[in-house]
Amino acid sequence: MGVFVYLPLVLPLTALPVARLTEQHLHPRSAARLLATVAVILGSCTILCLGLLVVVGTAQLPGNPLPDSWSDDEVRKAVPQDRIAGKTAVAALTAVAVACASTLWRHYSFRARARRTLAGLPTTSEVAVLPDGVPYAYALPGSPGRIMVSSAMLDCLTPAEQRVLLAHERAHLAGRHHRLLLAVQLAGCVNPLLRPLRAALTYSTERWADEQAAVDTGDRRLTARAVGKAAIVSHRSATGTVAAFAAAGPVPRRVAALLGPAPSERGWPPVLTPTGIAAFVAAAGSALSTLSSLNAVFALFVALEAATPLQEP
Amino acid sequence: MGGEKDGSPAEPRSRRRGQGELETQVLTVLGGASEPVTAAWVQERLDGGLSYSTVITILTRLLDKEAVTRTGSGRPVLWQSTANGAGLTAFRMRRLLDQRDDRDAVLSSFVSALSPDDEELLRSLLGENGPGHGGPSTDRPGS
Repeated sequence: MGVFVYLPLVLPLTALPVARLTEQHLHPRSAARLLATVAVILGSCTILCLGLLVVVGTAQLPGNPLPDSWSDDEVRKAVPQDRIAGKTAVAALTAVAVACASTLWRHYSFRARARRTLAGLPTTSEVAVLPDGVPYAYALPGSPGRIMVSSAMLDCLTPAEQRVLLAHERAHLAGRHHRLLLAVQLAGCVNPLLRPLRAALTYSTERWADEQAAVDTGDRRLTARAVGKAAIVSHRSATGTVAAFAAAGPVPRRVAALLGPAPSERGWPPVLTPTGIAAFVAAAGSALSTLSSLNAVFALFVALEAATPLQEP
Repeated sequence: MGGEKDGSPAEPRSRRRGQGELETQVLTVLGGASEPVTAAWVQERLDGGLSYSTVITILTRLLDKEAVTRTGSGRPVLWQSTANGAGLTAFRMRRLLDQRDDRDAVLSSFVSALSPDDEELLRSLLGENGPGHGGPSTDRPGS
């Protein structure tokens, strides 16, 4: 397998152009699914690759639980720099496990706390209106999912615009966008090269929900106005606080997209457009990564089988 | 990897959480009162033996957040919770939502933060595209 065993660690670099291009050219629903799939595949390959390096590189270190024959010379020759790589991989795999566990814990504990807090409301309907002077609106995933919206946010929107907001949040819940986001977040913990996918996916899910709201209400301009108005009102109410303005938000791009024509629903774009190239690069990167991981697993398996006397007399 | 939390960076955060806890306690006590009460009344009913000045500090902070009102400009200053049950829930939820890192990882907000330039851009986007002028503005501002 040679240096190919290291390929899955680096191939997530293909995620960079993908993140950039898909969010601009693909239908947001396809973009979100593509980004999440690519992230999961490339992340899994990274884990597989690290696992292999751990086995090969450390099987002969004293005190490890693996059979020594798993790391005889034949096998070790397959991996360049096996000892260093093995020890590094142990550290990396531990870090990955810790990061993933803490991400999961934070995700579920936040959801549980939000749910407990909402239990204080007299109503259990899908839309929880919280009497609060600060405008905000969130979708809280779970079964059933709930929509938390502050009274200040509702007050500044017309009834038609309120319907847009609710349709947007319902689209988040119905599309289970939190799962895609969590998957990409975990992938980013596994391989830092996958982190750019997260911002791209966040944007795609917002656009997806926007488009769904535009379909549900049948009015793209109204949807654009609701998003823009909500953003301006939130902006103004938050001007006193410091934290919110580190980076420019993607809201103007969302509004501009809504004011333009509806994106095409076509599944797979023509190859010679930027969209096609993005999708092609994504597919090629994922396929190559999967292939080289599988190739490495297979090669190692064959080597291990040859090294281990399986038939005991 | 577990030793990072011992340093000073964790301290302000836990203190802030503690303050939020106290605010909730004070609000709960105030919510149990049927009429405006004095700060001393609140202090008596709080467990944890807080000093009078601490209670005043918390009440003042809650006043800034419009969670309580101060009535009676005369001698005994009286305090009243503006929040009923739902208001208290809203207050707690805001406290939860203020934990930005956790929140952003789990919830997607309807709208995200704007820069001052964004606001201007938004206004022109929404303003210039009047009825009957639905021209496609597909150029990508900002990036």
